[in-house]
Amino acid sequence: MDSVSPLDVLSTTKVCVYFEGVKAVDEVDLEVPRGRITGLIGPNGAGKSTLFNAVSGFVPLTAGTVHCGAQDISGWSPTRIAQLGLVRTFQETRIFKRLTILENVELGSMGSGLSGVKARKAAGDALELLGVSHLSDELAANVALGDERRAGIARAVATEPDFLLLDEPAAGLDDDETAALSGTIVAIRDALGCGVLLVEHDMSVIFAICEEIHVMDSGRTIAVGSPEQIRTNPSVIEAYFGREHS
Amino acid sequence: MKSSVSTWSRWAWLAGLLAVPIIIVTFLISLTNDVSLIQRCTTALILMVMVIGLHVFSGNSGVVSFGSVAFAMIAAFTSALITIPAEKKPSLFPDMPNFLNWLWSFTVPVPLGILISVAFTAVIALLVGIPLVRLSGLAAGIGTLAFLVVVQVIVTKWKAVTRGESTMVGVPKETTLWWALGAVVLVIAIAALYQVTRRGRRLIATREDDKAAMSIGISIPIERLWGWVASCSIAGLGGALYGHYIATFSAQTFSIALTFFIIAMLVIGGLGSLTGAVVGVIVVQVLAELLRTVETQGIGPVPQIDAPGLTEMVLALILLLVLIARPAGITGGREITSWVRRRKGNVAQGAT
Repeated sequence: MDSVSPLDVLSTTKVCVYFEGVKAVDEVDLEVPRGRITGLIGPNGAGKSTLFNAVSGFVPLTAGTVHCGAQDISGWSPTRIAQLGLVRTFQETRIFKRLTILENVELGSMGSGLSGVKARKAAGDALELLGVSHLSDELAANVALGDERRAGIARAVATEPDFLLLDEPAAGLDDDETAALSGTIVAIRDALGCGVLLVEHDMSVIFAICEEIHVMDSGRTIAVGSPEQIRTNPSVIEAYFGREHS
Repeated sequence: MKSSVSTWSRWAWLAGLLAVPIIIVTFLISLTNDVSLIQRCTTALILMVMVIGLHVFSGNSGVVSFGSVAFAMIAAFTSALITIPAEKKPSLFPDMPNFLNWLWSFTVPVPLGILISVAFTAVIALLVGIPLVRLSGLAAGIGTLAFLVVVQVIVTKWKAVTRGESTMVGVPKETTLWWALGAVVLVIAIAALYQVTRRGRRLIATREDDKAAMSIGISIPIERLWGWVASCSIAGLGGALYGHYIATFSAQTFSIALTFFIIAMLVIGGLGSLTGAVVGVIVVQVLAELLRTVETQGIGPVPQIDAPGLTEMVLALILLLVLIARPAGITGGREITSWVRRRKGNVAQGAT
């Protein structure tokens, strides 16, 4: 896992996203290698969500490029990016509420173009992995938030992505659920061998499972490093922990 | 993993629970030998084909289309042009443009005429659909309404081919109660199959949450285009059957009023479910017949109310009440299979 070929990296190069002059993301270089879990953190308004949306095609880039392996995906539509194997989840889960949990997850595997039997198997595996297979036949509208969130991740996992972008997967979960989720994210990475980019406010999750952490503030990168390096980085403490814990 | 009901059994349950009662009732009606009742039943079945057609696109995508009647009109005129006996054509269409003269040389049997007109409708739907499916909400409504107006104007003004404001005559009158029933069963089977299999379910996903659908690789324009072409083709089938049922018609037959009537049936039944499309047609048609009877002769203790327009007014009132009290329609946008599932546990799982 030490040497990762550049073909197996999701990377941004000097990505900028400006909204009417506001530099939401400003020249950010980010690397997410396959097979590893990369954390993206920063205080509120740091630009994490905008970068996340830009990488997944939901927000247009003002400048810079995004590469998925050797493929330049700058300016691609969200659909095309997902079909290539870069799949995201949403903080607000965006589950299809009038469909059952199984139908939701099957749409993940069918949307990515898998054929009948394979799609069904991928959906079943994803439900098992996320521990929600007992809810298969429940309408998504009727399940608890924690299960809804897991189903949302299962839907993305069922697409068998090369890169999985998780947007605040622990939001609204209690401590036990959050701890279980950390283990699940590692299990997903191990099962799929995919690269995971994790945006999360809960530092216990970030420091427990990320191999590398990328810290943003005011749209710019302020630090990149291992959890140990980030924990002791003065500018991170100043910008992030300093502000939050003062 | 708790096993879920297979796609085929879901299809069979949904199509069967909707089609079997219709087949039984139609059969019973045919036994009455009441000509007027059989006529009304035939009309209702043809309308059901058109409403199911609208459901396939609007119900599954959540995008309202005002254009389905335009495709019914295109198919009705196309089928008429190729099934009117060749010997009648020179007198009916004396000014037929040269490039369409080949139409004079042949006549096809009505079933083939209907098939060809449905195929032609599908081609037009594909061409028109490519730009239209990129629109959503109000823009899609206006775009499809504009298409209806364009087709109306062309059919009204292109007198040499469509006979303009004079009606199309000489059209073989061959649609029977059984043809209409066969068409309804066929389109229920197709519409149910579509929404339990991946194509339809992807379109339903775009209706439920477009961003989430995109995030798992579902292309909104492509899925809408499939649904649109299927929907317009079914509307075409309804239109062609209608043309061969009433035998004399003009552009006014396929009016904006008919468009709103069809949309009203779908909304009253419940936009978003095939069951809603079927229930909407039955409820509105039965009510309309009762009201018409009150208008003309009264029913039982209800005396005749001699008020022309009563039917339309009361129907409009009911539509308003449904929209206020139950915006999701009588079925609430759910399928008949979901009620069966609730009653019988996991016997049948409904497509949503």
